[in-house]
Amino acid sequence: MRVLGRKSIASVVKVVIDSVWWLSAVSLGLLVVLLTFSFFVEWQGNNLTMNLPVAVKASSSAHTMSGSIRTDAGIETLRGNLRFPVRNGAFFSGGLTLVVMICGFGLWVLTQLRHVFRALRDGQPFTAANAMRIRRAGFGVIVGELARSAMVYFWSYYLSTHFVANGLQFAALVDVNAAAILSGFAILVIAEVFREGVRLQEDQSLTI
Amino acid sequence: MAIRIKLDHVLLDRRLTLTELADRIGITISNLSILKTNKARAIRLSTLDALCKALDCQPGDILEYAPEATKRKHLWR
Repeated sequence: MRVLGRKSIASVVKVVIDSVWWLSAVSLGLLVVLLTFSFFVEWQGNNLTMNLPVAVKASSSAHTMSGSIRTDAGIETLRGNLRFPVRNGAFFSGGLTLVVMICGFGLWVLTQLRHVFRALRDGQPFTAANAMRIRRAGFGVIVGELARSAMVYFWSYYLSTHFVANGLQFAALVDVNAAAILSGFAILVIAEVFREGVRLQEDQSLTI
Repeated sequence: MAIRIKLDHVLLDRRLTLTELADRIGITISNLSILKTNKARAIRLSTLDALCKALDCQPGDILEYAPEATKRKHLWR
Protein backbone atom coordinates (compact mmCIF):
# COMPACT_ATOMS: atom_id res chain seq x y z
CA MET A 1 0.00 0.00 0.00
CA ARG A 2 1.32 3.45 -0.91
CA VAL A 3 2.08 5.97 1.78
CA LEU A 4 1.45 9.20 -0.18
CA GLY A 5 -0.99 10.11 -2.93
CA ARG A 6 -4.51 8.94 -3.71
CA LYS A 7 -5.76 5.69 -2.10
CA SER A 8 -2.77 5.60 0.24
CA ILE A 9 -2.20 5.54 3.98
CA ALA A 10 -2.16 9.36 3.93
CA SER A 11 -5.64 9.45 2.37
CA VAL A 12 -6.95 7.01 5.01
CA VAL A 13 -5.47 9.12 7.81
CA LYS A 14 -7.00 12.23 6.17
CA VAL A 15 -10.44 10.63 6.29
CA VAL A 16 -9.95 9.84 9.99
CA ILE A 17 -8.78 13.40 10.73
CA ASP A 18 -11.71 14.81 8.73
CA SER A 19 -14.14 12.72 10.79
CA VAL A 20 -12.54 13.80 14.07
CA TRP A 21 -12.55 17.41 12.85
CA TRP A 22 -16.27 17.37 12.05
CA LEU A 23 -17.07 15.64 15.35
CA SER A 24 -15.01 18.25 17.21
CA ALA A 25 -16.61 21.11 15.28
CA VAL A 26 -20.13 19.89 16.08
CA SER A 27 -19.18 19.33 19.75
CA LEU A 28 -17.67 22.80 19.91
CA GLY A 29 -20.83 24.26 18.41
CA LEU A 30 -22.96 22.52 21.03
CA LEU A 31 -20.63 23.71 23.79
CA VAL A 32 -20.92 27.30 22.55
CA VAL A 33 -24.72 27.00 22.56
CA LEU A 34 -24.60 25.56 26.09
CA LEU A 35 -22.27 28.37 27.17
CA THR A 36 -24.62 30.98 25.72
CA PHE A 37 -27.60 29.46 27.53
CA SER A 38 -25.63 29.18 30.79
CA PHE A 39 -25.69 32.95 31.15
CA PHE A 40 -29.50 32.93 31.21
CA VAL A 41 -30.20 29.76 33.25
CA GLU A 42 -31.70 30.05 36.76
CA TRP A 43 -29.34 27.94 38.90
CA GLN A 44 -31.53 27.65 41.99
CA GLY A 45 -33.37 24.31 42.04
CA ASN A 46 -31.58 23.13 38.93
CA ASN A 47 -30.44 19.50 38.80
CA LEU A 48 -27.33 20.30 36.77
CA THR A 49 -24.11 18.71 38.06
CA MET A 50 -20.43 19.28 37.30
CA ASN A 51 -17.80 16.59 37.03
CA LEU A 52 -14.28 17.86 37.71
CA PRO A 53 -10.90 16.12 38.08
CA VAL A 54 -9.72 15.75 41.66
CA ALA A 55 -6.79 14.32 43.59
CA VAL A 56 -7.36 12.98 47.09
CA LYS A 57 -4.86 12.08 49.80
CA ALA A 58 -6.13 9.45 52.22
CA SER A 59 -5.02 9.43 55.85
CA SER A 60 -3.71 5.97 56.75
CA SER A 61 -5.53 5.90 60.13
CA ALA A 62 -8.90 6.35 58.48
CA HIS A 63 -8.29 3.85 55.68
CA THR A 64 -6.53 0.63 56.76
CA MET A 65 -5.37 -1.91 54.20
CA SER A 66 -4.65 -5.62 54.27
CA GLY A 67 -3.14 -7.89 51.70
CA SER A 68 -2.39 -11.56 51.02
CA ILE A 69 1.21 -10.97 52.09
CA ARG A 70 2.45 -9.04 55.10
CA THR A 71 3.18 -5.58 53.84
CA ASP A 72 3.03 -1.96 54.94
CA ALA A 73 0.96 -0.84 51.96
CA GLY A 74 -0.89 2.44 52.11
CA ILE A 75 -2.82 4.65 49.73
CA GLU A 76 -0.98 7.87 48.93
CA THR A 77 -2.98 9.72 46.33
CA LEU A 78 -6.17 8.82 44.53
CA ARG A 79 -7.15 10.51 41.27
CA GLY A 80 -10.63 10.63 39.92
CA ASN A 81 -13.60 12.94 39.35
CA LEU A 82 -15.83 14.73 41.81
CA ARG A 83 -19.45 15.23 40.84
CA PHE A 84 -21.36 17.98 42.57
CA PRO A 85 -24.47 20.08 41.88
CA VAL A 86 -23.92 23.45 40.25
CA ARG A 87 -24.74 26.35 42.57
CA ASN A 88 -22.37 29.00 41.28
CA GLY A 89 -23.41 30.00 37.75
CA ALA A 90 -20.32 32.13 37.24
CA PHE A 91 -18.03 29.20 38.07
CA PHE A 92 -19.90 26.93 35.67
CA SER A 93 -19.87 29.51 32.85
CA GLY A 94 -16.21 30.32 33.50
CA GLY A 95 -15.22 26.67 33.45
CA LEU A 96 -17.25 26.07 30.32
CA THR A 97 -15.59 29.09 28.68
CA LEU A 98 -12.18 27.54 29.38
CA VAL A 99 -13.35 24.24 27.88
CA VAL A 100 -14.69 26.04 24.78
CA MET A 101 -11.38 27.90 24.35
CA ILE A 102 -9.30 24.74 24.66
CA CYS A 103 -11.59 22.81 22.32
CA GLY A 104 -11.43 25.67 19.83
CA PHE A 105 -7.67 25.63 20.05
CA GLY A 106 -7.66 21.84 19.53
CA LEU A 107 -9.91 22.30 16.49
CA TRP A 108 -7.41 24.82 15.07
CA VAL A 109 -4.57 22.30 15.49
CA LEU A 110 -6.73 19.64 13.79
CA THR A 111 -7.36 22.08 10.92
CA GLN A 112 -3.62 22.44 10.37
CA LEU A 113 -3.21 18.65 10.31
CA ARG A 114 -6.19 18.34 7.99
CA HIS A 115 -4.57 20.65 5.43
CA VAL A 116 -1.21 18.85 5.80
CA PHE A 117 -2.74 15.45 5.08
CA ARG A 118 -4.74 16.90 2.17
CA ALA A 119 -1.43 17.99 0.64
CA LEU A 120 0.08 14.56 1.35
CA ARG A 121 -2.93 12.89 -0.29
CA ASP A 122 -2.41 15.17 -3.31
CA GLY A 123 1.24 14.06 -3.47
CA GLN A 124 2.68 17.48 -2.56
CA PRO A 125 4.39 17.05 0.81
CA PHE A 126 7.10 19.68 0.50
CA THR A 127 5.39 23.04 0.36
CA ALA A 128 6.16 26.10 2.47
CA ALA A 129 2.56 26.12 3.71
CA ASN A 130 2.88 22.52 4.92
CA ALA A 131 6.07 23.27 6.83
CA MET A 132 4.38 26.24 8.51
CA ARG A 133 1.27 24.19 9.39
CA ILE A 134 3.33 21.40 10.98
CA ARG A 135 5.23 24.02 12.98
CA ARG A 136 1.94 25.52 14.17
CA ALA A 137 0.67 22.06 15.11
CA GLY A 138 3.83 21.45 17.16
CA PHE A 139 3.41 24.71 19.08
CA GLY A 140 -0.29 23.96 19.38
CA VAL A 141 0.35 20.59 21.03
CA ILE A 142 2.77 22.12 23.56
CA VAL A 143 0.60 25.13 24.38
CA GLY A 144 -2.56 23.00 24.44
CA GLU A 145 -1.08 20.53 26.91
CA LEU A 146 0.16 23.35 29.18
CA ALA A 147 -3.27 25.01 29.01
CA ARG A 148 -5.05 21.73 29.78
CA SER A 149 -2.83 21.00 32.78
CA ALA A 150 -3.27 24.60 34.02
CA MET A 151 -7.05 24.18 33.76
CA VAL A 152 -6.93 20.85 35.64
CA TYR A 153 -4.77 22.45 38.36
CA PHE A 154 -7.15 25.39 38.69
CA TRP A 155 -10.19 23.14 39.04
CA SER A 156 -8.54 20.74 41.49
CA TYR A 157 -7.30 23.73 43.53
CA TYR A 158 -10.87 25.11 43.60
CA LEU A 159 -12.17 21.77 44.82
CA SER A 160 -9.43 21.51 47.46
CA THR A 161 -10.50 24.87 48.93
CA HIS A 162 -14.28 24.28 48.73
CA PHE A 163 -14.76 20.63 49.67
CA VAL A 164 -13.87 18.51 52.69
CA ALA A 165 -14.49 14.85 53.47
CA ASN A 166 -13.78 12.63 56.46
CA GLY A 167 -10.29 11.16 56.30
CA LEU A 168 -9.70 12.64 52.87
CA GLN A 169 -7.73 15.68 51.88
CA PHE A 170 -8.33 17.20 48.47
CA ALA A 171 -5.11 18.28 46.79
CA ALA A 172 -4.35 20.54 43.83
CA LEU A 173 -3.52 18.26 40.92
CA VAL A 174 -0.40 18.86 38.84
CA ASP A 175 -0.99 16.78 35.74
CA VAL A 176 1.40 17.68 32.92
CA ASN A 177 1.65 15.00 30.27
CA ALA A 178 5.37 15.00 29.50
CA ALA A 179 4.81 12.68 26.53
CA ALA A 180 2.53 15.29 24.94
CA ILE A 181 5.11 18.04 25.49
CA LEU A 182 7.85 15.87 24.01
CA SER A 183 5.60 15.02 21.07
CA GLY A 184 5.12 18.74 20.46
CA PHE A 185 8.87 19.26 20.33
CA ALA A 186 9.24 16.24 18.05
CA ILE A 187 6.65 17.77 15.70
CA LEU A 188 8.68 21.01 15.66
CA VAL A 189 11.74 19.02 14.60
CA ILE A 190 9.70 17.35 11.84
CA ALA A 191 8.56 20.82 10.73
CA GLU A 192 12.20 21.81 10.35
CA VAL A 193 12.80 18.68 8.27
CA PHE A 194 9.88 19.68 6.04
CA ARG A 195 11.31 23.18 5.70
CA GLU A 196 14.60 21.68 4.54
CA GLY A 197 12.65 19.47 2.13
CA VAL A 198 10.96 22.56 0.68
CA ARG A 199 14.34 24.18 0.15
CA LEU A 200 15.75 21.06 -1.54
CA GLN A 201 12.67 20.69 -3.73
CA GLU A 202 12.95 24.32 -4.76
CA ASP A 203 16.62 23.81 -5.59
CA GLN A 204 15.73 20.70 -7.58
CA SER A 205 12.94 22.43 -9.54
CA LEU A 206 15.26 25.33 -10.37
CA THR A 207 18.11 23.07 -11.49
CA ILE A 208 18.06 23.08 -15.31
CA MET B 1 23.57 34.58 -6.62
CA ALA B 2 26.75 36.01 -8.19
CA ILE B 3 26.87 33.61 -11.17
CA ARG B 4 24.95 35.06 -14.08
CA ILE B 5 24.00 33.39 -17.36
CA LYS B 6 24.51 35.53 -20.45
CA LEU B 7 22.23 33.44 -22.64
CA ASP B 8 20.50 36.43 -24.21
CA HIS B 9 23.86 37.91 -25.33
CA VAL B 10 24.97 34.68 -26.95
CA LEU B 11 21.56 34.17 -28.59
CA LEU B 12 21.79 37.69 -30.04
CA ASP B 13 25.28 37.02 -31.41
CA ARG B 14 24.16 33.75 -33.02
CA ARG B 15 20.89 35.33 -34.20
CA LEU B 16 18.86 32.59 -32.56
CA THR B 17 15.58 32.77 -30.70
CA LEU B 18 14.85 31.01 -27.43
CA THR B 19 12.32 28.78 -29.19
CA GLU B 20 14.88 27.67 -31.79
CA LEU B 21 17.43 26.93 -29.10
CA ALA B 22 14.85 24.96 -27.11
CA ASP B 23 14.07 22.84 -30.19
CA ARG B 24 17.78 22.22 -30.82
CA ILE B 25 18.73 21.04 -27.34
CA GLY B 26 15.45 19.47 -26.17
CA ILE B 27 14.89 21.70 -23.15
CA THR B 28 11.53 23.38 -22.64
CA ILE B 29 11.18 27.10 -23.27
CA SER B 30 10.09 27.66 -19.68
CA ASN B 31 13.30 26.06 -18.36
CA LEU B 32 15.42 28.07 -20.80
CA SER B 33 13.55 31.17 -19.67
CA ILE B 34 14.46 30.35 -16.05
CA LEU B 35 18.10 30.15 -17.14
CA LYS B 36 17.89 33.34 -19.21
CA THR B 37 16.33 35.36 -16.39
CA ASN B 38 18.91 34.10 -13.86
CA LYS B 39 16.29 32.44 -11.67
CA ALA B 40 18.00 29.05 -11.85
CA ARG B 41 19.66 27.70 -8.68
CA ALA B 42 21.95 25.28 -10.52
CA ILE B 43 22.75 24.06 -14.01
CA ARG B 44 23.61 20.49 -14.86
CA LEU B 45 26.81 19.81 -16.78
CA SER B 46 24.73 17.95 -19.36
CA THR B 47 22.66 21.08 -19.93
CA LEU B 48 25.79 23.23 -20.18
CA ASP B 49 27.22 20.70 -22.62
CA ALA B 50 24.07 20.84 -24.78
CA LEU B 51 24.06 24.67 -24.73
CA CYS B 52 27.72 24.96 -25.72
CA LYS B 53 27.21 22.40 -28.48
CA ALA B 54 24.13 24.17 -29.89
CA LEU B 55 25.62 27.68 -29.60
CA ASP B 56 29.17 26.64 -30.59
CA CYS B 57 30.72 28.45 -27.64
CA GLN B 58 32.68 27.91 -24.43
CA PRO B 59 31.12 27.71 -20.96
CA GLY B 60 32.84 30.98 -20.12
CA ASP B 61 30.87 32.66 -22.93
CA ILE B 62 27.61 31.72 -21.21
CA LEU B 63 28.61 32.01 -17.51
CA GLU B 64 29.79 35.15 -15.78
CA TYR B 65 30.74 35.82 -12.18
CA ALA B 66 29.32 39.16 -11.01
CA PRO B 67 29.53 39.62 -7.22
CA GLU B 68 26.48 41.35 -5.74
CA ALA B 69 24.81 41.77 -2.34
CA THR B 70 22.81 38.60 -1.56
CA LYS B 71 19.31 38.82 -0.17
CA ARG B 72 18.35 36.50 2.71
CA LYS B 73 15.21 34.58 2.02
CA HIS B 74 13.10 33.94 5.09
CA LEU B 75 10.91 30.93 4.57
CA TRP B 76 8.72 31.56 7.58
CA ARG B 77 7.19 34.81 6.20
